[in-house]
Amino acid sequence: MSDTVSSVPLITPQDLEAFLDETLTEEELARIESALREQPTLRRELARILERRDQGEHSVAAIWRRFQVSCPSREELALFLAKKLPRPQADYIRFHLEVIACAICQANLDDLQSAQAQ
Amino acid sequence: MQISDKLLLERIRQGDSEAWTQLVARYQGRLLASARRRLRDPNLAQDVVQETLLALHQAAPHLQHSWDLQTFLFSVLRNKIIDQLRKQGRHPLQQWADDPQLASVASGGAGPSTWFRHQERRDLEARTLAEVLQQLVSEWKGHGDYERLKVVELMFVKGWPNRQVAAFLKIDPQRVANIRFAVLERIRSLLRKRQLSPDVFPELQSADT
Repeated sequence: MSDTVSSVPLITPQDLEAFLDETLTEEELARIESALREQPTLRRELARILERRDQGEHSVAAIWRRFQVSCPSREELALFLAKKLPRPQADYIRFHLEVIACAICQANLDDLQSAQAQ
Repeated sequence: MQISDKLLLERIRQGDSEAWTQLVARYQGRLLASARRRLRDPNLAQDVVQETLLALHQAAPHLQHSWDLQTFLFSVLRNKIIDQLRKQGRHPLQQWADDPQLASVASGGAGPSTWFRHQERRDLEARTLAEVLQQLVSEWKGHGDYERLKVVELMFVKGWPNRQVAAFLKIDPQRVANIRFAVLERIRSLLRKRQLSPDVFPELQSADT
């Protein structure tokens, strides 16, 4: 993709929220699970998030993912697969899939690819 | 032309079985793709998708018109997948059952909160914020302002600080700071217009990290 991360991506509380909600792609879930296994400080952060949830605190990240605030439409994803989108729009979709690691868009893309292959 | 989800749902409510078949055909593939990735078992994936569709069928008469069908279905599917992973002892949190810091909260040991608000109220607040964010995202997409959208998504969804967003997108950190400030102001203002205090969302308070 056009944008690249210059260092190993950090794991933020927002990533941990998405990990708990299972809203990340398989690869991202695996990366976070592995980091959690190795880093007690990250597990402490996860415990803090669970506590905050128990107290009813909102998370903008969780709301953004849950309501698919920025997810491209299925039609856009089909055009993305067919390489028929203008570059800025296609770049954005790649960013949303790879950096945001949106599990719902990845599932839609898998489904469209499999339909295309049939 | 494809019938809208809302119309399909309306027909399902009236007992139209053809509408149900169409809805299943529309959503089954993407739900299966998601379940297969996570469960790595085609039969189990099929089961959780069937349960998810059944849940929609049962909920259809009561489902509010404002509900986006894909959002609803993936929310139900996620819960079914989590249940299935727990049953199999594969849920990530289960491996830290002996970790005292996680065990106390994951088991609900934190106890009732003094400021617990009713779930219905929380859902309404979350939905209001989602609508505000969708309005802004739609504007930015309409103007082809994908840079702003990426900044905001990295800021809110990934929780990255300004300097990391700037380095990643190769833009001036001051520009990121300006976008953050302007977007936070805009969100707070739109929430107030909808009679919802921005204070409900702690992350909307800070102008920068």
